[in-house]
Amino acid sequence: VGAETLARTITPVPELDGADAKAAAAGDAAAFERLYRRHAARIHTLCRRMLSPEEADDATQEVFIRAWEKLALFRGEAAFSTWLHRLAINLVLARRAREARQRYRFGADAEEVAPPLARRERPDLRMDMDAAIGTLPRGAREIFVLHDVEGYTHEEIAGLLNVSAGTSKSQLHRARMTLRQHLQ
Amino acid sequence: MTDPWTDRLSEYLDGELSAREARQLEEHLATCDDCRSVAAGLRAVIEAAALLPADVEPARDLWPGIAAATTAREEAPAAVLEFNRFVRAPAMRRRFTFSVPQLAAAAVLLVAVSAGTALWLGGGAGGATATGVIVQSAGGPVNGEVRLVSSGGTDADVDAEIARLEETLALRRDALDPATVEVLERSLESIDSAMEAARAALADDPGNPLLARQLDNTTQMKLDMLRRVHRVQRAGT
Repeated sequence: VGAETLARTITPVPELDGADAKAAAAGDAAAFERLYRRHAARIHTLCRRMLSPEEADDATQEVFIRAWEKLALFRGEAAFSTWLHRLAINLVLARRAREARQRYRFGADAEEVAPPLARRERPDLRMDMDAAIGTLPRGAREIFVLHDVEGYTHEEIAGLLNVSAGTSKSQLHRARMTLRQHLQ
Repeated sequence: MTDPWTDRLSEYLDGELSAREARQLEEHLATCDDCRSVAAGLRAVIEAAALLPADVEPARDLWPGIAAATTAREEAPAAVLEFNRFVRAPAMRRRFTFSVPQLAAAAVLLVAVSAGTALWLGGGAGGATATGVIVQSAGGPVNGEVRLVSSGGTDADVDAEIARLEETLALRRDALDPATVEVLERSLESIDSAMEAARAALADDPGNPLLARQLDNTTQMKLDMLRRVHRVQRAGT
């Protein structure tokens, strides 16, 4: 077993992250690639759920490029994974806001609603949870993913989305009610 | 459903009701089949969400695109910064020195380039090019400049203007102060390297909008830098 492999086996991920983040902030591209390899799946999954499968690749790349640019601001006070996750959430929400502005500018409907699902044609089909999340309206989807999948509190969501905690709660309930119908 | 307790079920399941409200809701659930059914459905949703995998690998490796973009973003702006600092330096004007025959040759060349640009823009400014990238004229056809508006990165008009400006620069190279040439060439080399990295990544991942934007931005940096050199040279004449 090589020294590096051994080090990886016995060193906890947060410590590996901390060392690699420090090296990457100093311009070490190989260290940054290691960070990417450790966290790409997590960030890609988040982007896919918050946005769509089609946008997930582009959004994930954007997250890591911005992370590279902002690494100097990472102080190591929180875990790198937490810092990166928060950065990803902010970028995803900013992307959503840009889309909303574009829809408004071009006079499209305020919110796109996904087409009816196959379940309606085959009531016996138990729908995949991720596919069901993809059918939620934008606001309800963001709040559902943040709360029920990512574990954010209503107060944190309120801060991120600039809404009240009450709005977050009611949107979450709305999302769950919709998903309950899809999953039945 | 009009039952007022239905809208409180999520809060109940999340443990966000007061002890008194929770007790009241539980008493209601004991007598209401509909609410019990909804609560069971909501609980199933919450459990399904909690069981979702948090880390599914992307279907393809996204690292090459990230590496290309970070390289381009690091190198190209740094090159532009170095060049701009140099151009703004107080001694800059003095460094652009030309002999009289050189000035005459440069003037003729500049007129030829401007006329060529005018003819070329006259046929295509403001419209969609063959590659679908819209090109705008910034100041009318005579001193017009093309600018990338949307992503694509291979716009023939922009490439043509860059080629013309580079050709002009090569012809005037000897008239420039060696220090100017050194900074300029170093900056252009960095930008070219960033463009090449973005092109290579795009070849591996055609249609990636991030990489296309990256290539556009870097190309625009190069174009702006070359134009700046020409403006400074023109001012020097």
